[in-house]
Amino acid sequence: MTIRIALLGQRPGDELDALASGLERLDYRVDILSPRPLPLPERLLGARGFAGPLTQLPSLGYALGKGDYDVAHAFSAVDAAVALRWGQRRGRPVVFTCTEPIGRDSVADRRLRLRLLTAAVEDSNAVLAPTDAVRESLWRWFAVHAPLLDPKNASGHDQLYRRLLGTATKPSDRLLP
Amino acid sequence: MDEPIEVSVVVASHARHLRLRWLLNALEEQTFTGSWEAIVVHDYDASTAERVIERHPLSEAGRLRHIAIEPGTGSPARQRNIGWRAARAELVAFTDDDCRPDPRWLERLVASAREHPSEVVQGATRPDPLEAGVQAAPHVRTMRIEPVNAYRQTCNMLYPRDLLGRLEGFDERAITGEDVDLSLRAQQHGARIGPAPEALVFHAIESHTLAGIVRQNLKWRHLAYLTKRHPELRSEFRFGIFWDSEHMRITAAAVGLVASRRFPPLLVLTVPYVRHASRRRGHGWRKRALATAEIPGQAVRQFAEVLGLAAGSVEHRTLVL
Repeated sequence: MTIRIALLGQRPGDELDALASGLERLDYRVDILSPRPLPLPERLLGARGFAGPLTQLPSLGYALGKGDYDVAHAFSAVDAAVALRWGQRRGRPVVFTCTEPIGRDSVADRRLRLRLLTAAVEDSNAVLAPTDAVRESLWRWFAVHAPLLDPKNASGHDQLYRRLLGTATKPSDRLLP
Repeated sequence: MDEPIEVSVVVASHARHLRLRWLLNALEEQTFTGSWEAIVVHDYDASTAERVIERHPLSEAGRLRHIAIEPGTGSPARQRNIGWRAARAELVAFTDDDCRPDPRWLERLVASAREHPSEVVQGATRPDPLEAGVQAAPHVRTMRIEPVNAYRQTCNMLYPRDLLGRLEGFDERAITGEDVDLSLRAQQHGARIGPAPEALVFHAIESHTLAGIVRQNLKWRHLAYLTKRHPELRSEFRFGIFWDSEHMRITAAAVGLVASRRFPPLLVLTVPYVRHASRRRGHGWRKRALATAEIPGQAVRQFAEVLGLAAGSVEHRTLVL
């Protein structure tokens, strides 16, 4: 059975491309969803203190809903908000990779930042850290232990997704610590 | 810890486990070199308490204790009372779970207490500069306090433990204003309240929807109970009735709007309110345009506060608006 993954990223770069390619070699169907924010509305929202970008969210929600995915994997707290709503509606798992270390100066500095981060960290089915610095910051500021998983590690993600979907590849498969 | 503890920091926490975590991180960074402890009284489930509190470095260092109470049974007054009664030090410092103490906070607070034994000490509280971006929201809750103010909020206060004992702590019947009540009773017992403006705490800046902030501010209707207990508070009010100038202006504006239907010149009563509200964000045409656009929402919020206080006035039979 082909597993369908939506990777949600605002700046699809090397990491997301590498992950997508690696997963496709493992017979996944992968879509990178990265609708572009609208510049003028973003400036207005920014002037009103909002943590952005936000204006891509309706398009992202539409793309997620249309795609019939098995797992949504977000790489920003903002995108995770849409993924979580999708996940609740469809009964599908959501993964959040926190890509940058969190600090006290960035955790509640803008409107909605704290609410979005909290939802991403506490409500996702799995929270991942790409580096030790991110992992330590998640523990310090959110009291959450996140497994370390390099975004380019396709086989590690394969194990995670299968675990979340309840389909292990082998009985000895382990979720990475 | 075997050495005598010089100061206990007491925190009541409810529905803000992440901000509590951040407060504990700030306490971990305190420069105070004496022996101290922190006591958190909360109503979180065991799993949350374990990861947020028990596994915090302060707990592991033996500096942090926590007391869990049944959800739904707590209040700031009750939880603080449980906290100070469990304190082992002669000095009890209070702060809130939505605050971030400056690293030198405890050091300066205790230094002030040592300079003036038996005195109550109030530090300064400022909106947290790390959260300044949130101030762009139309409805924001934060604190700015220069000590010694009229209300002595426990976001930054230090009491001698024996004084707390003689006063029997916070009034658990008070829905709000229990910190004001305690400080006024302390003064009635002859205690002096001194300032420690360098003992600084930063307060969260939280944005709310209009409905959310109206709901939050409904608790202020119980200020009538506080005023009835402490009539001397009226010296802080405008004309002995209005909690602050904002309430006075919105009440006048509302009266002017209604009465102008019969007598149009009374519309002039809205001018002080509009003039002040349009300058809320500062000067410059952009800021004034923004503030002016926000007037309807601000007016609703402030009028709802006045109505809440009016309801409290009826309940407690003493006029506060």
